[in-house]
Amino acid sequence: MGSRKKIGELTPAEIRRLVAEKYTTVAQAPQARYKFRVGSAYARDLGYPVTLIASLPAALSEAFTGVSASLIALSEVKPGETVLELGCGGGLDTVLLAQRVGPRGQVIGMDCAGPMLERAQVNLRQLGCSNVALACAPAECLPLADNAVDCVVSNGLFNLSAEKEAIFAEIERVLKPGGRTVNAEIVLRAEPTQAERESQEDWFT
Amino acid sequence: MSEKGFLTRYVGAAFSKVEILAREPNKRTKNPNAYVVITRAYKDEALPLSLTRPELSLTSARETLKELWVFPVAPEFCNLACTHCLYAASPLRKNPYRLHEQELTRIFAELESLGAAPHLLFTGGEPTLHPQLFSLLDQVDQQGYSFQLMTNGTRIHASEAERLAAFAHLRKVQISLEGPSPELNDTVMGQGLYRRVLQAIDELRTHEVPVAIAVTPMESNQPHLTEIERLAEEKGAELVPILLYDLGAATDNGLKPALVDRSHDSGTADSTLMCDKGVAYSEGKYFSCPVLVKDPDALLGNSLSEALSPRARRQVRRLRDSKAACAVCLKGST
Repeated sequence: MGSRKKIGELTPAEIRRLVAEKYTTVAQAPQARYKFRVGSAYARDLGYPVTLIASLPAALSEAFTGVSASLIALSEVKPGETVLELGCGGGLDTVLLAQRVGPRGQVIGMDCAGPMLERAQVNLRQLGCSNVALACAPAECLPLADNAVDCVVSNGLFNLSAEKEAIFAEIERVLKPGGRTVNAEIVLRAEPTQAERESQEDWFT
Repeated sequence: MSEKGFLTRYVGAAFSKVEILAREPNKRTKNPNAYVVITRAYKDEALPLSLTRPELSLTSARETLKELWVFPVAPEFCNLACTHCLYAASPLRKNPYRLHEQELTRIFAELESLGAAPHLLFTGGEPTLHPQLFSLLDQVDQQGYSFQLMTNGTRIHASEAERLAAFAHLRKVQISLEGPSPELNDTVMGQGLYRRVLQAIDELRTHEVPVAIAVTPMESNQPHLTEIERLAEEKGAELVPILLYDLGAATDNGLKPALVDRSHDSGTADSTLMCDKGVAYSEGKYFSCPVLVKDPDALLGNSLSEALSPRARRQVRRLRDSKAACAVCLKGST
């Protein structure tokens, strides 16, 4: 982090850039120490089955930064559906979604950090997932047509954006009528203190 | 961000209904104050083509909000118990809600910030049962909003007529009358009401207050509608037909609407739906229209901006497909 501006002084665009930089670092050095947990042990601890993680390439879960292991099951994604995953990261949930939608369905994985997508790409190719498309784009401005997808999922995304309303407006736009959005997010029991709000590091936790 | 903030400010801004599928412990960070919530929201189904109506222009609240219905007392709070009342109002139903001066101030402030200046319709329940009704109307008049009062007339005497006549922005006083004679009217409104209502109309006309007589065409008064029309003409009053909704007392009493021949409509009747022109403020909350103010499905929010949001407008369109009352408006709007 070059600048040490307080969070309130950053523009949404600056925050987007800082988040992309941070997750680029995570993608390139997942073993390093972060203020938030990253990786396979963390995924297991969250509840992803040990056998599942063991059966997939290690590179898939070692940069995992989601917040819930139940999201994909709760999304009730069905074969043949088109699913948009916002903040797909290294691709662990992406693979699980690809298995659910099957060969007639499609998963679109999006992330703001290019190296995360490169990591996902390698993994998906290894697994032979041909029903996944990846794109580097901000969630606040999706490169998709209106009424394009059946389901949108995200696993810990909104805390990283200062434009949460814009993301939900975009989700609403790209969903087909009757489509659904299933989102896992970290929330607080009480509103954050001034100090917490101002701490730039905590923005990414 | 709290769970409530996430649900209402963010998901709720784009989607009308949000469900919580699960709450889980936060294992990502060390913050003991944090947990994980998993939410689900659906985008509205597309409306069948036959039911789609032209989109309401939401570019500005000024365009959207032509009318704001205000309930100074709760809808069921009334000194009468008319047999066709959609709220089944009656003197036995004691609802303590009274519109507070501060609520009105808040409404004005929001209207100003939205740049909207709707026509205000004060209705009820019986609005004159509000002990400070006239001081509330004074405020409205001073603010310069055009307004009207819908009343059963029982509490309009010479002094009230005089006060009403003094308002600069009062467009009219609308009084209900359901028959052209005591026998025909009083079976609906109650004993002695025909005489009382006509006294109020005369008092208002004496003071040159514009009056509209509201009649609900029903099976029972259908043969006498032309007589009511003549009476209105005689009194120098406008005649406003009101739709009968299968709600409240009308349902309990099995009342049926009149089969009105619309070919004789004057042509001045406004055919826009109430929910296209505005919203209703009742008991501190905003609803899609005055008919559905007791229906939780029609609750649009606690503020005008919520009630005019794209989410709320989608909610209104969905209501139109599901509510029997909406079918009444769509079929026979006056």
